[in-house]
Amino acid sequence: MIDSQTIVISDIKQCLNCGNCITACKRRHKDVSRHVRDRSAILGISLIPNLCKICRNPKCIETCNRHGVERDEEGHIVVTENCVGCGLCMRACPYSAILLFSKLEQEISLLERITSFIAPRKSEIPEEDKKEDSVDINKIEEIIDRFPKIPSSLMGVLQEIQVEYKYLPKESLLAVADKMGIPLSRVYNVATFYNAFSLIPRGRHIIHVCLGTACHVRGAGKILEELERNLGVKAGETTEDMKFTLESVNCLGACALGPVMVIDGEYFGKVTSEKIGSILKMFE
Amino acid sequence: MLKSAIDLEEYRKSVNQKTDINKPCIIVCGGTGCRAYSCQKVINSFKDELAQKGLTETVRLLISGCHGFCEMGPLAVIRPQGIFYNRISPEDTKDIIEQTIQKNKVIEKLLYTDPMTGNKIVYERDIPFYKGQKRIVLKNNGFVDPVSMDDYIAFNGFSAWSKALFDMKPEDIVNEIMKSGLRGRGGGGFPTGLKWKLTAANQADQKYVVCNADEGDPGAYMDRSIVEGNPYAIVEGMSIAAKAIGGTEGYVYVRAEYPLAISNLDSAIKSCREYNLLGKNILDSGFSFDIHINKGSGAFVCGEETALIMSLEGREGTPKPKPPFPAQKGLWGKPTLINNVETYANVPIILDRGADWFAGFGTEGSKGTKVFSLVGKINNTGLVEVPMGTPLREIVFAIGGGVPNKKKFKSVQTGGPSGGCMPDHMLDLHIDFDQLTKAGSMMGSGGMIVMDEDTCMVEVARYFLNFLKGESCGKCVPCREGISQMLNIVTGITKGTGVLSDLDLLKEISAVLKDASLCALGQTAPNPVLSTIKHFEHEYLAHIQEKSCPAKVCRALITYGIDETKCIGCTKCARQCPQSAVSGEKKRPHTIEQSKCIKCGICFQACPVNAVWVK
Repeated sequence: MIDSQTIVISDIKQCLNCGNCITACKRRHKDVSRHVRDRSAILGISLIPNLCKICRNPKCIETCNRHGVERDEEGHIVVTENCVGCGLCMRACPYSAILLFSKLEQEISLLERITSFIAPRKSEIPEEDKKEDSVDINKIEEIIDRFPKIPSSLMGVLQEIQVEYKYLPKESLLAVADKMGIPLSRVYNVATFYNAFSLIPRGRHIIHVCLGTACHVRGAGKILEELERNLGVKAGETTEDMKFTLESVNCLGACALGPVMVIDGEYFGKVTSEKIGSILKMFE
Repeated sequence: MLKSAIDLEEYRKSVNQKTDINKPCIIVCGGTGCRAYSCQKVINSFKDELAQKGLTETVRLLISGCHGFCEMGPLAVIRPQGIFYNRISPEDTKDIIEQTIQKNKVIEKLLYTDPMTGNKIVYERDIPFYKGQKRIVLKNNGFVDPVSMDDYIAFNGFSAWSKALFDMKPEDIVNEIMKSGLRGRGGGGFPTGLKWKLTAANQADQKYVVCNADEGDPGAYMDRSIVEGNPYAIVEGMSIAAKAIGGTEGYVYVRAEYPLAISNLDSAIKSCREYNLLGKNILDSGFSFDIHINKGSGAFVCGEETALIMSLEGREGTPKPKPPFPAQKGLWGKPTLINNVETYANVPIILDRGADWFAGFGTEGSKGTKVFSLVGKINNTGLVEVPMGTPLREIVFAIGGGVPNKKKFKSVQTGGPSGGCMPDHMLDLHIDFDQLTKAGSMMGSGGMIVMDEDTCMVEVARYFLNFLKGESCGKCVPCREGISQMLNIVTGITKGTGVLSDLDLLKEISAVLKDASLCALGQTAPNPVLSTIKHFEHEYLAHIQEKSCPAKVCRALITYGIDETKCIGCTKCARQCPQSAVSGEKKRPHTIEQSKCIKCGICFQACPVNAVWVK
């Protein structure tokens, strides 16, 4: 039943779709590539090697009663426009070479790829703490309604969503793109351009350390380092227990108090490395 | 609801009649700086005490905008006398009411002490910090409740607007601004009158008036204080501009980090709409204009006018090539006037007092006054407004009170990340747009950072490059790649891996950035590097040739150690060392294990007997 001895597995996260694997496969198999084909699926910017073994007696074609799967003139097995998404061929294929996508899922998995590039990889949130807030679409619509119905309201809408959820959940961005009629790529463009927006959940308490010139000259860099040591995270990251998010900011305008640190809107001025431990203990 | 210019004047008369100038008034500074000093607790304490004594009606408690003397907060001025109290704590409020308000006695311990003479000064007007200033733009700060329409009107508010609406043609307004010689206060220094003239000349169905309140320069907070403390002035300035250029809608782009400024401005705008000073058919003049507030989201580059406009349109803040200039094609492709907060704040004053009066201040090329934020290693941290042409030395020493802790002055940095550092032999420079540019720096928005002998100038250059690298929008190659490469080189110098040819390489890359960057962020990015190389070359050479940091800042080039003759063995340093690099028993001299030491300097700060040395 199994036609081949080997299959190709690739790490989608690393793939840049350079096409070297296709060339190598063609060369190996004398221009008739069996394993990796240039009609492989492309998701985002990656190549997904085709798992289809082009069986001599394909189970998928056998199972399909609508001509949804056919062999084309070159001998490859392809899904045709007659496919209605019943999934029978998928279950029949011994190599799991057939995948069933819903249109929305396709978009979401694309999103996952984008966000996995952008979100800092170091901030690995443990499974039990991964509380993805379930986004209430009504709330998003209500926020959108607060603004004039024009695309330039996008920034204001995102700011309000961030106030509500403390970050921008991906479902909210999908909803914004949908309800405001703005291309998803542009929503992501804006969400990732501005420093104030966060695409990953943040801690219960947000620490802002001022790194403005006046504070820098008064030794703010040392304060940030001490905080990084104490919390075990770098600036821009959140502690594993989701208690603190550490951010640096460029000037809070309270230069007389430099070095300045703000936690949840409460200002701490003339901070020294020694005081940090006791300040952090004030927050639960 | 005011229905005409006459209504406005009647209202003003009634406010002035109601005002008793002898009524005791406690003016507490409620600017963001003082709020960080917990002035809210002081304010609440005043409220409680006044209520307890039944004085809430007879004594006015006014929460004003920033007074400027930020080092001394929380502070209050008792009027009508003008007695200045600083570093007030909530417990002091009882005494202030009982002694000063009720018995007209001064409380010595709350008075400002002049560090030069040691004398205590009673009245605000006698304090050197204020005496040296000429507060024109900031004149209302510290006298008015920012959101009170009555207060603004009492201080001659909107009389310029009325004049512009009814007594002047658009060309007259433009000419008056041109005559005054006002130049943009945001950093570019472009002649304001000329910008208005160019924008007025372009015809379109919609024309926009935009106020740039993004104030991204770290260490600069002049605009914040103006918007927080005197928001009506911005409304008035923008409205006059709208009449002059034919504007139909106004937008204020405020950075998100200024919540108090946003909320005060919002209240002012709403109040103006109620009084018919904004909206349709203002004061029955036939002219309509309204203003909206847009918040920024943390992008320094959005202070650049074309990037700001992109951001207003709900897009990423990347600059666009100029021409076309916003005056021709700006917001949504329409002619747009975009000016800085301080520029607009000057406008009503110019129309009120006259262009000739305004041009009486300042120098030939730079008229009027400028607000600076004097911060860093300085005794009197705060906002300073002086006429253009004031010598730098006067600002730093006479007004600023010099460098604290008897340290030696080293440099003053102006213009933010786009500016340059000036050494002590340039202290006699007269501050104006052209002089600063000639000196290799620039006026910028007004940030003035003072640095002393403990500041490493190479590290300062690295700091600014690092800042700009993060804020670069990434669109054009010279800025995106150039800043990154310059940062690598300067970082290498701070780590002791620099070579002599690096200095020429830095100059070469700088030339490319100046010539080929799309916007001023990239074009001015080399300034901190070039000015520090020019004026502090010896520091660069020390880092490169001797692998030493004269200011003892660059970690890779310094060593910490303990002087055994001074160490008392208190173990304080050992306890605080994050790397457990200090060893020693109680009451015996300690030592630092160099291989573990990360040069964080905590031991140096912690030692109570200064036994830790650094070289």
